[in-house]
Amino acid sequence: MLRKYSSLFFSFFKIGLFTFGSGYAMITLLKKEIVENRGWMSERNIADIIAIGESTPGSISVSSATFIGYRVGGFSGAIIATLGIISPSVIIMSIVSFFMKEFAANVYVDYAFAGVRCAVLVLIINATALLFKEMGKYYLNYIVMVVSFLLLVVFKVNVMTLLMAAMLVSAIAFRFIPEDER
Amino acid sequence: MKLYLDLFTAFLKMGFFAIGGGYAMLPLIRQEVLGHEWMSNAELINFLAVSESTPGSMSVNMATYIGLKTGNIPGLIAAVLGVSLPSFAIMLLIAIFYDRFIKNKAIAYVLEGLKPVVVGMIASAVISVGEEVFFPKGEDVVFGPLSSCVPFFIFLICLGMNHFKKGPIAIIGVSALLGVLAGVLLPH
Repeated sequence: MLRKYSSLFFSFFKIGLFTFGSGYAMITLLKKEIVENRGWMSERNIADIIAIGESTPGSISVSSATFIGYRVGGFSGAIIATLGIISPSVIIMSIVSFFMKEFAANVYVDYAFAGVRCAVLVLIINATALLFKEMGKYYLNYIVMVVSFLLLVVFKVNVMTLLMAAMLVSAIAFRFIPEDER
Repeated sequence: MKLYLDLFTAFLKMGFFAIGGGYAMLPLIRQEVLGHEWMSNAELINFLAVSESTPGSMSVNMATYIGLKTGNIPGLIAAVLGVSLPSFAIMLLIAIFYDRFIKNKAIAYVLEGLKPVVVGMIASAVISVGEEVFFPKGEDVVFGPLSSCVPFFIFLICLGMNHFKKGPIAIIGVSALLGVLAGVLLPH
């Protein structure tokens, strides 16, 4: 039992340690560790988990750790796997935040970050393009997309209000629009 | 105590509404983090780059950084707990009711309906971050009037690297180097 928990923790610690950038980079690692090394799940299961993780709130890394942890070791397994995957971020960011404070007043660091902010803008544009590709291409979706954009940029609407309203409208549409017209 | 509660609830919101991966939640993160004055606008964008170049998901990294900065170790625990609790609770329920969840069309439909909203949200983040990058104000001004177009050129180079499928860490590295070169060599 203890052995199962410790291998859950270290498997997810390893995955957390090597997940740079978005969750997509994690998928390969997840397959190798969970399917090939440990044999806890099939490759098909992993694909399902990623799909669910993408369409539910929260980061894919925490979601997949909770799910696999539960399947392997019940409730305690879920907690241990989740702790395993967030530990590397917490440890490394703690160290990094110490250095960020230390070098905050350095003029060269200022120059470097002024350059880096341009790179971040590119990464965000990239993420926008990726999400746009995944969106269903109907007129209604384009309208919702543009209206959400304008509500946020021009009218400075609260982000939570916008998301809740969108959920409500979708739920009402599901209830009242017949299946073949959705 | 109020600080820890603030940290917990702010990150709980971010965790719960983090749909579509890290950057899509940027408008919500800005609203919470800038609203509580836990970071300045420029500091937030710097942080995104640091987070991109270190392991782990952006939300957990952000919780660690801000929790530690504003409330030390207890702050860190409050923020990290808040940000991971929603995915943990939701995925636990899904793992328990897996078979029923997969067949539930209503959930799938609502989540599908959120996608265009999320695209609109992340596009709005492009505008707010772009404003900070190209037209900084006050303390955030790094390049003087003579070299104020430098960010634009660095942006174009990064865009080019992105087009040729260079990874985020390479792009961030080059942009940092160009920033230092421009700062040292160009007149202000």
